[in-house]
Amino acid sequence: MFSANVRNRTTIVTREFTSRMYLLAMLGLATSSVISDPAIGNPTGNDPSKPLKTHATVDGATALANALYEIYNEELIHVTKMYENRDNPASFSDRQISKSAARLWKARRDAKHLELMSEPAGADLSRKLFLLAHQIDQFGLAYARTPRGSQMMTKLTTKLQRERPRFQKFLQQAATSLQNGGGQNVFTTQMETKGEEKREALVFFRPLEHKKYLLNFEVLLSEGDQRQRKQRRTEYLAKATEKVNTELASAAASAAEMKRISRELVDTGAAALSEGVKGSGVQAFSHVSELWVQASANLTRANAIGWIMTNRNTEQISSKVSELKTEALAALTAIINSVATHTPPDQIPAAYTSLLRQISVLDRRTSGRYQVSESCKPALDLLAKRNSTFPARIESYKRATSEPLRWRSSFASQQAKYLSTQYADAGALLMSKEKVEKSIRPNFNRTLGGETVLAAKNFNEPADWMVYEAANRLVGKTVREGKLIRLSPTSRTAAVPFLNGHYANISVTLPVENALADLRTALLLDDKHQALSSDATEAISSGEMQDYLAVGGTIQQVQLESLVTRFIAFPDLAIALTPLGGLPQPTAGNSPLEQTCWRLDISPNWGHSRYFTVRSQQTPTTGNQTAQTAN
Amino acid sequence: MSHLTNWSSVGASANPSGRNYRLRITPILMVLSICSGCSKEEMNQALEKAKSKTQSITQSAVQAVEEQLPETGMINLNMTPSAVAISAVDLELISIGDGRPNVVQIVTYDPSASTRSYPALLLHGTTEVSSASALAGERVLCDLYYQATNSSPIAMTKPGEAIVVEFQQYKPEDNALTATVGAGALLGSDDRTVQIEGGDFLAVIRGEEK
Repeated sequence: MFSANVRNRTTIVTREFTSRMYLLAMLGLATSSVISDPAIGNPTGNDPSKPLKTHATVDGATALANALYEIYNEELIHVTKMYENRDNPASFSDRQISKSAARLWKARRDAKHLELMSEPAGADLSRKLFLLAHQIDQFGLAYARTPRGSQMMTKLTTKLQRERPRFQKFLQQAATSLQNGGGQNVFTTQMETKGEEKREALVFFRPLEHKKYLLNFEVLLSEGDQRQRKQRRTEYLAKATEKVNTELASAAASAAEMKRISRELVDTGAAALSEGVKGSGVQAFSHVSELWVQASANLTRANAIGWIMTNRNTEQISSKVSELKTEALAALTAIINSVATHTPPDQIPAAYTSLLRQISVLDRRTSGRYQVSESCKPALDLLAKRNSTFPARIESYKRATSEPLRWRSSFASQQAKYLSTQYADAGALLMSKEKVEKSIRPNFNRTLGGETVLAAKNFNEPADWMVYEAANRLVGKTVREGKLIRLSPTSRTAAVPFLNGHYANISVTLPVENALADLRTALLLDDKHQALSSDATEAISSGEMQDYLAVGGTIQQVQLESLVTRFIAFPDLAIALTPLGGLPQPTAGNSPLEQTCWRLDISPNWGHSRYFTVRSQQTPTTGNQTAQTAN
Repeated sequence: MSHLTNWSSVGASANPSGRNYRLRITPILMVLSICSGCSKEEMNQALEKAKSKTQSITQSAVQAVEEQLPETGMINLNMTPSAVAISAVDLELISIGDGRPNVVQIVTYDPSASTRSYPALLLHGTTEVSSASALAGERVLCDLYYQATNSSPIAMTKPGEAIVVEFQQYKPEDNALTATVGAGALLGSDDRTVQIEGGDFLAVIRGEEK
């Protein structure tokens, strides 16, 4: 019972996230690791050398990418050291130059292979390895002009000429193999071995002289590459198609399961939710919501794989997302109707409030405003009428709470406006330009231009340089973000959904207890009395979940991911990044494969729940200024 | 309760365009036009007579109108930086009937209207008392919400704090309650603090719901 006249508003009431919170539980015990596993990678401002994560649609991509990043890191050390001594080329090691040149030649070819697998890491590696190869070529030519280098060149020329007949024979055999359509992999392996061997020597020769010693090697290699590229592309597209089909099949199975559950409930009042376990309508509501989440994750992944397949029409996935939403909403409505039919009148209020709560959580995770609640409203109204006194009680409750909710909503909006004045919009800030003051660009590429975009929408430079320079200019800045969705009721992390090339991870640290206790008092809530209106349920559910309409905070870290990898390697629990019934949208006009996906890790300073604002203990109020409010 | 002693006149001045009446004083002008040929002394005498007559007419007219008008309520709050007086105050006691306390809601605007009238104020608290008339003598802790104009900052009680409303007297002839409002601090949406030194109100009981 309430003690009406003695209201201890500062008492923190422990809230139940128990049996009614099936949907929330379904969102799991996710943590920030769901969105990013630091062991797996993606470069950050703190650790820019981490490789770009692969989506691994094609087997072997991850191993190949890791091996190539290792080569890059090793060769970067050699190149940097040689560049330091560039004024004294005689100090260079000819063996190191030969070895690096051959290694980089092969690595660049492998990076192209990664690109063929539609791995953004491939383009990043190609960019990086080109820069190193260019430097090695310069070192080779510089060394060749030294006295020791001249002697070496004489010996190398003699060696190349001596090898010429044998090389010609090799090329003839290669041409025959190519003509006869022999084993493509064998051809490529042998050609690459020969290519590395030639590269070891030719790095010391001017490019114009290369042809003299390579004969028709490059023409044959190019022909073989073209053929192999075509074969690989077909193979990889088939692999991607297979993965898309697997995702679509899972989504279809979830949709069919939704229908079965709702049908069983309508017929019998209970439905099998897992093997041997039957559940009530209220439990089925959360189960169907979970199926919707799983199927949406399936479609999100299928859509992202479609981005890397040029022949895939992603509109097909969009229409499947819409269909799924329609099916999910129909199943949820049918479940509420079944609850109305099969629940004894005295249990209607408990079922009603539990469903209201689940609907509220789903609403905030669904595209469009209040789509779930609007769709479920007629069924909920019918459910309420199954208890003759309950509708009048709901009406009284609405009248008793609607005015404080109106005032609190307006107050919170005004405060949020006031609080956000010192906070730049995160999306606009990322697109703004600023001069680069600090960089990790290696010594051979240190020239910094003028002002550049803080977080470019496309990969246009090595990812480690990009993330370092972005983090250097962004970390410590205060920004405001829009809608914030907590990953689960117990998660320490909430996410700002992906929009315009970025998303945010925000730690759930705002001290919300006093505001919540005050809200509960105003809304007449205690352990035995739940909210009876959708507005009041929304107020308390969003407050307890700490799902905010807007949040302001300080950027702690910046991570650079690839857009396609983000949404192909997409765990179900990361669904907070993309609302149910929607799909992440790449920037129009640019290839998704080249697009970046920036993640900001933000420590919150304030949050705007629909009915209150809350600020961190480090963000004090501005103090006891002269009141203008009464004027 | 000092403000409540001269209730009607406060209401009229605070809300000149509201539901209280004002009389136009025209007899003086009529006397002046009739006496256009009189001496100055005669004219002054006529003027005094007319003034006296006008006052008498005015007082009786006001009394007559007041007798016909229903009570609309009034609230006075000593707020910083300036006092606030708002006419038309309604009180509603809402019972939900499922074991929750009843809600006392005191408003200076029509909650069912799409836009509020300003200044706007809401006092919202809970009580175990089941009828509004029985609130006399009760003490209710309330949230207070206040906005001077539709574009000014909103002020409301801080989380965990409340304003004390002490109901004084039930007036059956007006179906109204008088009450005092205790002191307290409100938080402005602009982060400024608004002090209330106290106040009082007369609220008309509206559609009591069981």
